[in-house]
Amino acid sequence: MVKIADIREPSTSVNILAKIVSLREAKSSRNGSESIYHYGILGDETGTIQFTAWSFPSSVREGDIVELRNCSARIYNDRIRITVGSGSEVVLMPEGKMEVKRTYEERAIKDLKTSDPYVTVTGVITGVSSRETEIKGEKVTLYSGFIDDGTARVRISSFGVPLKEGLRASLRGARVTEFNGRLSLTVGRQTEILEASEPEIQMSRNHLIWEVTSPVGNVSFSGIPVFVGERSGIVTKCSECGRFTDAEGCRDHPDAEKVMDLSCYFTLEDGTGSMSCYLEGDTLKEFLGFSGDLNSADPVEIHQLVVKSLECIPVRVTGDLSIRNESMRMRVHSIGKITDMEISQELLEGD
Amino acid sequence: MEFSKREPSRWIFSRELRDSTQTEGSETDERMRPYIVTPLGTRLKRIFFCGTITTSSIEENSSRLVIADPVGSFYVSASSAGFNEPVRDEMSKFNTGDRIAVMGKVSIFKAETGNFLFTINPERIWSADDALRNFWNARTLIIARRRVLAIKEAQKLEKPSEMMLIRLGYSPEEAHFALLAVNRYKDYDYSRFIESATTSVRKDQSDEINRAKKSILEIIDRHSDDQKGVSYETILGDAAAEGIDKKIIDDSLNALGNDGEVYEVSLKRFKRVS
Repeated sequence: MVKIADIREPSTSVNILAKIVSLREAKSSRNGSESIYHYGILGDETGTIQFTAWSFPSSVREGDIVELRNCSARIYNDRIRITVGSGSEVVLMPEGKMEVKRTYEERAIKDLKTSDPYVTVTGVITGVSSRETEIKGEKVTLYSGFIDDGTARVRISSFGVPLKEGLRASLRGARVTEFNGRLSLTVGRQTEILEASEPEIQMSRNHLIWEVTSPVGNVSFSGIPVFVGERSGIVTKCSECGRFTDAEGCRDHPDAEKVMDLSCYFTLEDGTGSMSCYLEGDTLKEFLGFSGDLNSADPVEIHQLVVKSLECIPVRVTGDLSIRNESMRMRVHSIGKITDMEISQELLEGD
Repeated sequence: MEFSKREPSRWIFSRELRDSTQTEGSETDERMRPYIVTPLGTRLKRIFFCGTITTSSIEENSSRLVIADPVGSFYVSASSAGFNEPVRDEMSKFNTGDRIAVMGKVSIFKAETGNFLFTINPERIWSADDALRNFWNARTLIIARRRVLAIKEAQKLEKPSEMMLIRLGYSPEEAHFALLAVNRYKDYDYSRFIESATTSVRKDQSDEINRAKKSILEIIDRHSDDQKGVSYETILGDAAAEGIDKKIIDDSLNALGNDGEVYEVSLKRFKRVS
């Protein structure tokens, strides 16, 4: 039997005695046929490891102790995990007891991925709100907020465990999930919220596009807008829902008033990749230096102003990323031209 | 995940392209341009660069520009046929000595010697100011440095893998590119490449200091008081208003002191040597 802490490299014929820390079921489609597989986390007194089981006894539940024979350790999504295949055996140990050493790797928020679902994140909790909800007939308080570690920010949802506004905390064993194209962290039964005692390390939220692969919030990129969308400029929106309207008005609120606003979209490139960016309203007006009345403005002139102010101008954008139609985009909440100082600092980097 | 389905442009110095000897994909299929794999492992079809026009040849059917960056030249060519035409018209608006930025696809030609020759077919062309040139130089240098660091880490490993490099802190794409370079360019002199690029970009920056020195001397002349000289805050304020950043101002003041052009008459007050 091998201990979980000793499983570091790919190997075959792995035998382990472990506790089922978490167990989930999912469907997989291959060659037109659907099959069910299980995945979750195994633990022993030395640590925890993720597993995938292509065949798994239905009698096994979370918290059970099992002996796994003839499994393999494989690399998947840059992480080692146990695979229980058709040639593996899963033997339930009904009398077994085991203390599991919880091990969750500390991750920067910008590096969070759903493929690495249980992690420790340390940052400042903000924007806390709460509401009552019902889960399986039981009333639970759902606390929502954000956590920001200096590299990025994500939403947190906590079922029953209060979140404290402004607290710098470590969330140990938080679950990384994706909802509505955005990454978030869920505080569940296995998560500990501890006040962070170690001094805060200053980290940068300025990243290269190739460094950020998940839809996190409050990140910055500096680059050059190479294409400005042809519909950038004056737009009309529904006064009720804020959505863009066409000539016939808002489809959901046909009687609502149409209001004018500024909006633009562009492709930002930074030498390592490209990204679609969207910005509108006061952020865009301030960047353009526009303070006039949109009702009397010439749409063609405004479009030209947007293009002239953005195209091929080095800018830094900060905003929230989301995934739509399998591609990442940023809703920009601040934008500014890159200063000589920032360029000099970039030149000094790596010296 | 790539953020956009469009092939993004890569930012590389001309020398990285010139030293490329490897491609991926068909070199004979007209419909599909092959990818170029550079010595730094950059896999590209499209590039974006900034430089100064050193040669311009605008003719009725085709136009050519030679554009110098800190370490060499890019060759840009557009014909009047097809999608190139509007850009070719744009090219004709620029003259030798103008600074421009170009985004375009790279065409490959094989010389009789077997070496590759590269021409850029421009898709977009813009006039470039100091800010764009400095930003492109700085960013392209930092990307090249990071690539070389990843390649050197991979060279140290007995059996390098992308995962090993990711664990060392490189992005998945950097790790992938580093292995491409290690496998395809076994004898490339990376240290020489980085040394040359760094020195050349710094030289461009020292040109900026020379311009800042001239401005600072003018500021000192404008505010000079025979007894007290000009305060550092006044120089900082006026120079910042001209768009010169504090680091460049400090470096330029030090340089002017070393050149014997100005001296510190009292604490943080500067006067021109008469």
